[in-house]
Amino acid sequence: MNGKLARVIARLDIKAPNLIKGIHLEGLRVLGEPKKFAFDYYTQGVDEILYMDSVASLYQRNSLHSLLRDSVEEIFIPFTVGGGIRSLDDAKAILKLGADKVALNTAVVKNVTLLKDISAVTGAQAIVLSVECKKQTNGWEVYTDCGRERTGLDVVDWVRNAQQHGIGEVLLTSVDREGTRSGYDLDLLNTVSESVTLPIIASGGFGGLNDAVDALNVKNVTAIAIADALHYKRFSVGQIKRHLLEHGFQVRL
Amino acid sequence: MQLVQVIDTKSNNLSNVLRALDRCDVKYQVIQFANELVKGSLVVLPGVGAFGSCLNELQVNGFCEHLVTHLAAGGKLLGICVGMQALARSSTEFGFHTGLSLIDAEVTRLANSESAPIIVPNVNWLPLDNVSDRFKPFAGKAMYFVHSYFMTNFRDPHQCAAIVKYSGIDIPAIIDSGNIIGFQFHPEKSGEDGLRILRHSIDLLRGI
Repeated sequence: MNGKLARVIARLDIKAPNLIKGIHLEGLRVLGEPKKFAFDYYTQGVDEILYMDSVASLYQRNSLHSLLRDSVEEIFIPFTVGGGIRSLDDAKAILKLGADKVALNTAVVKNVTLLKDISAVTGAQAIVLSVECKKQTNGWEVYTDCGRERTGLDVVDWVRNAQQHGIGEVLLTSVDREGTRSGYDLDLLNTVSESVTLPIIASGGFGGLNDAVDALNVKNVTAIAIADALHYKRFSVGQIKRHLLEHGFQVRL
Repeated sequence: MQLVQVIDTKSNNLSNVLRALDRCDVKYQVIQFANELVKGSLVVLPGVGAFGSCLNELQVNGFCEHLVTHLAAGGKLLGICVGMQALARSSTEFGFHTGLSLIDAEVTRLANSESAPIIVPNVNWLPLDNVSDRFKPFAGKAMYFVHSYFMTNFRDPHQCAAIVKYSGIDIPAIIDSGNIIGFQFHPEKSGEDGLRILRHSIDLLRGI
């Protein structure tokens, strides 16, 4: 694939006030102050920052406001914020603080028309559908609350349905691969890519440079989210982007 | 120094644009109504979301009528994203809408045809191409785009000061008619190059 555009997104899972990292979205380890990590990725040339509040749905709270407010003072690239956004007012509050997009999962699984209510006000480009899935015998099942709760929904049915209600991108997280460094779930990416014309962000499983290439070779995958490979400094943003460039992708360096 | 006035169109990126201006050491005031326009000021029009709701906000607060006379009397204008699209004659986003008609062009959807499938919205960092002399220092610099509609059918193609290439379409990225500059991308979200082009454009409009 020649000249395909590719973005590299730093994913920071937060359990306020800390940056954390787990495996399969569980077994949390505290890594430090999220804003410091985010600023480091900004200076490394990352294309976007994703803050995900990992306990917000569980505790019905939203604790990222002050972190976001501080971060946008120093970091002039797009921010996507997710976790615990339950209403139009929650979404508006996050966007007003300086986020560009909100990532929605649990609340819209419970009430899909919330997507329409939010996109009518903010525009669909401000909404990222966050989908957490686990492999089943047939296909993938959608989970909510950071991979804790089953929904019975099939991933393709769900994404198709959500697309009709106004979304700009799909953040597709494989809970099975998350934190395992075993590569993105390419079958999952291909399956969802066939069913939508939206940009897809691959998330969960980045282990090495070729994982990035493999994921971005999937038709509608235009971005990859990377967490612990950056947090533990196994790779720099520049290293990943140069590798993509060598493999024919168009990246911002 | 020419006063900078930022129109509050209830757009979500207002605070981001203000922070970027702060970072560029540009002093400004935020205004809501056309009667607050100061003769000869440099007006910044941020915008995110739908064309229709942006224009409606401008209409209700008197700007549709007064921006034309403001520019004729030495005022300047910098439009960002939907704030740039608002300068066009019309848009087909969610029905037909009339624009400010300050730039003779139309806003239309990024086409998604069978023969040439396009991923919409265009959410990408894209390098500026075919850059005019006034923006030469930014040739090849990547800026952040997020949009589903774009400006096209310019009566005067020279008003397009830079393009980006996306899925075979030349998308106007910067428009420049002397006293009006518009960005399809978000300079406030395009890193250090974004801040530099924002500052550069304000200097150009001020004639510095």
